Amino acid sequence: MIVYNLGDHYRIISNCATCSQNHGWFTKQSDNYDVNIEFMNNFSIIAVQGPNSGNILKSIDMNGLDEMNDFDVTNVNSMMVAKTGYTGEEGFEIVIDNANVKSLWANLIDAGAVPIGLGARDTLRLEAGLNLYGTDMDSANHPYESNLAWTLDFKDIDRNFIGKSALLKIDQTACKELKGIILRDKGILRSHQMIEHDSGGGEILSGTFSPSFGFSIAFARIDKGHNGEGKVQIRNNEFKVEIVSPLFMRKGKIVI
Amino acid sequence: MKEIPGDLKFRPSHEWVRVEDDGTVTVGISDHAQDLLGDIVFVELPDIGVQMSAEDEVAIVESVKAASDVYSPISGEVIEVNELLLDNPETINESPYSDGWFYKMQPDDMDELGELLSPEEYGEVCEE
Repeated sequence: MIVYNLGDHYRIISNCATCSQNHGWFTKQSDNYDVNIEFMNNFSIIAVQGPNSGNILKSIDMNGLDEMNDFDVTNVNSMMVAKTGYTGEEGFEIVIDNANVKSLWANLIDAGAVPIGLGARDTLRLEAGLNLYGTDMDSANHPYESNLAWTLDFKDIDRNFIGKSALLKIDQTACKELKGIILRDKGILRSHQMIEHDSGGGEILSGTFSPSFGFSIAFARIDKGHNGEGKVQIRNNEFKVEIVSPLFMRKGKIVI
Repeated sequence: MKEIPGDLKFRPSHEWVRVEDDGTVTVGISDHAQDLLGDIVFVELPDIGVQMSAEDEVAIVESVKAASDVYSPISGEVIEVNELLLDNPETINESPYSDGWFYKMQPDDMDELGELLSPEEYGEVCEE
């Protein structure tokens, strides 16, 4: 979920499957504040991703995007355009009213964009080290064990936010951590397989065969204190795995 | 979809069997199965000499999407496996009824073949 600051209001783009859960949470929290939560079902979103995405948008007269940095948001021809996405590639997400989305889609296809399926998108986001709610974390997990500590900002000690006191109570040296797992042997890491290492173990979260690497990669939530090596049990076989930082590719470049 | 060769018999779980001239049988998975699985990346084959009963789990195919068990269509002894698949699992996608065969068996009882589906019957299963 990403929250965009649009000046006089915020726009939240949520995972489709968790949209009612998120909407319910925001609505409940809003009781204590002078704020309105509006569910916008009159908008559609199209993600244009990949190294050529800027050129494709330019060719359909969507200009002014060259100077955008990651997570920037702007308005182009009455569309909200954000330099965000769920692929780890260069790319944009376009929010447009429902009446115009079909013609935008057709224009993008005419300009050379190619639709991809959910499976391909899922491989890309895993290679890019991006978590999936429901598989990699849910409401029972805290950010420190989900590789999401980068979303927390405690610099201003006077600033309060929901969950702050709970987060401050967590012992970060003792909790599990979310790591990347690499299996170079012939097997595929999949959800719920068990990992062991010198100082404990854990469980595979998202896992797949990575077409970019030619072997399997995964996330796992494991005990701290490993030395970069571990073992995974797949059916009746035990395989050696490498435990790495949970980021495999960024903008088409291998980073492991 | 590829045409189903007329000399094959099928399990509804998408395995095929072909009776060879020497009385052995060859086993593989159907074109429909490989299409459902998508890009196949690994395969685990049975050991030679293993005795299988009909419906035993005999092999495993892993595609990008999922791991799937392969069931033995009939009973018998595994006498040969297609080792080409270990390094070239994509052969199953490219040639499911020919180069992508899984293993050969010496069948215990040819009558078991009567319980399998004809190509026409299997084709109907795929359309359901």
